[in-house]
Amino acid sequence: MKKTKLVQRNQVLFLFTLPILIMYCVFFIVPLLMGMKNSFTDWSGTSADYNFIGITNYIKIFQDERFRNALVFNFKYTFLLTVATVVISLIVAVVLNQKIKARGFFRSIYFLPAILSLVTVGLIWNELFYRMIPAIGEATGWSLFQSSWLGSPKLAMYAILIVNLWQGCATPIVLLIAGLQSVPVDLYEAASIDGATAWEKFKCITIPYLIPVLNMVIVTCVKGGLTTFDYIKAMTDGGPMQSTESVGILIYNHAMQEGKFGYSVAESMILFVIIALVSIVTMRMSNSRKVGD
Amino acid sequence: MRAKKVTALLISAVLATGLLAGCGSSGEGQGGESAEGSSGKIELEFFTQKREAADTFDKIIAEFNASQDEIVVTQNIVPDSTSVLMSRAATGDLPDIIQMGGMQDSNTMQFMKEGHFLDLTGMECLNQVVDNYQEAIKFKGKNYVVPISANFSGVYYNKDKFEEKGYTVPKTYDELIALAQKMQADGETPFLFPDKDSWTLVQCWEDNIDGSARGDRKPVYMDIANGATTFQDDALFVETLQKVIDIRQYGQGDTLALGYDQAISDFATGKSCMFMQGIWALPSIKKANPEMNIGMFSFPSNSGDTKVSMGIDVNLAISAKCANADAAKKFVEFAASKEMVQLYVDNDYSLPCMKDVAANIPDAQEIVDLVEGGKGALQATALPKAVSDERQNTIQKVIVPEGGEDVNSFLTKLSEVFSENKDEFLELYGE
Repeated sequence: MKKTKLVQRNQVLFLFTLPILIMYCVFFIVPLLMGMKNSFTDWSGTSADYNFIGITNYIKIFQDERFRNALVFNFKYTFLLTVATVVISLIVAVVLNQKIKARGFFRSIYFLPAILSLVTVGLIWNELFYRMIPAIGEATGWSLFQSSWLGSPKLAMYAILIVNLWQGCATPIVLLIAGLQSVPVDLYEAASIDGATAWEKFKCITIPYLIPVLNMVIVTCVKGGLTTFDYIKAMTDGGPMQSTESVGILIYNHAMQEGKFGYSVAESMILFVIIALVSIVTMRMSNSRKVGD
Repeated sequence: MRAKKVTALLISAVLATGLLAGCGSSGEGQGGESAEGSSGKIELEFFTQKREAADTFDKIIAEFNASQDEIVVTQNIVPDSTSVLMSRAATGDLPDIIQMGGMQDSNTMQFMKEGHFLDLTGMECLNQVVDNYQEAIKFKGKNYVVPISANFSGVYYNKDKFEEKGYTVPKTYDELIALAQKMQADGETPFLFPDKDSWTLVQCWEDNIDGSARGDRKPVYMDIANGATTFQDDALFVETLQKVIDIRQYGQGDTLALGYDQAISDFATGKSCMFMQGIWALPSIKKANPEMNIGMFSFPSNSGDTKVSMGIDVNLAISAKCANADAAKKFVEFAASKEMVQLYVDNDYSLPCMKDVAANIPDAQEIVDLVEGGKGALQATALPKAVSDERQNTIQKVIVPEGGEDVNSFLTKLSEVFSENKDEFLELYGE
């Protein structure tokens, strides 16, 4: 009697998940399989017919210097983005959590970049880099500011990183402030009585409570960094001299501009595997640090 | 428990309606796309790639829609139109009528080659095309596009500044360099180079400097494809690319940081004396500063026997899958009629591709005179796509002072890519 009820209940629950399951299949699994098929062809993206060429695309990609450079760029960018996001958001969140004057005002100011559209952000910073940086260089005489960073193959990545952080730190700051407010005040009081310094309190009380939030911030940062596309598109479009060509940009250029659709799909398959692996590793790593709350 | 059940039911109901709503709207979308609209008229989509031409096409379309009551044409203009067109071609959903670039444009050639365009051979308006262009606009002996206007490249100059400082338009390359040095000595910036957008750099080399010295590029491309020469062995290519590098010292400095739109507004506000671009930039310059006095000359060659490098700027094509091909042809005939082409070139500052239509570009009179004197060279040969991609992707390396590439290795790489793809080229243009 009880068992049949349970089975019935499970069937009903399964029915409830059906709509989402169908949508997931139609909009995710099916395109993925179609893409996988395309990655074994030489389809140009517009032609009516194409040939199956086996794993030729994949072999070519592993020999392609442009793809390798893009991958190196991606990893470098992701590492810097993640570290900088965590450090900056943590500092700003802790400061904004203190009882300072005009706290609400500052919280809004720091969140403001997040509500701007990306194209606007790209236009604003393009002008800033082109007109402000040389002006600073002229006023101070520092060679680093002699010319726009977006025009320099060495500095363009950092310029994009700055813009990405300017906009991308807003949400983590809000999340971290919320996390900070969940820390019980009596723990700090007890620690003070025990004679703990501010750093010890931060390290042993605040951080463990923030781990779940930090965990999420890191995972989204890593994913965002590896798939980075929009900031680059809005600011340098991969230039100068392909120095800011991320894998995302490369895939887009191959598919949409250079008529190598099959090749670009093969590239995105490889990127998919890389992101899956990296995400698993980051989640494992940060989960193991988690302190029971 | 009961409450949970109710919530679950509610949620699934919401999800289900969401799903149905999704189906409903996509169904409506398809209904809207079908030929017969709610008014019973045939609806055609006109896809414009050239942003600057949108207003003029609006006028032409309005006149067409008013001139008859069977067909309604609507213009569609999107940012990043090449990508949109590519993905629409991929899904077999090309717009009915498409404004394409010229025959020198790899995308146009790719679409033609893959059979995306309707065969327009025999359309009346094609007889009106200027005789010199007749052969150049054919693809394997057939017509797939109707040319409306041609563009050209040159050097814009700020007339007020030239008058004020007593500069004269240079006739030879040496005079140009002497002029640029004089400008620098006067504390002026001779040129603005928007090298951040690498297509402008390609155009500076290919059309402005090389095209005005060489004229038609087809012979040299044929020689390269046949193995008679290479990019690095062709003395003129080496010389003109070196000139691209040499004149950068008369630029605004930090050229890789400046974009096309920024350069236009800077030139329009008098930040430099000269600016190398195509005629398509003129409407934007005038918009940025309507009072500006502009002139334009063709980039002078060594000997002073300067030509004008031209390309077909606006072509009209019809999708091979267009359900109302006759209606679409009617619109193309209308848009290619004498009056409409006149209206178009007057608004667009371009050269007409049709007979008995006058070019009306006072700001570039020097160049119009050259073209009318037979010095115009219509470029109708596209490089294989892989070559033009390689060129556009790597040309910035040539102009950076450190960590870049020299002229010879850049040209050698181009030749390598060309020889890998020479069959594709010979198939299109070979005898």
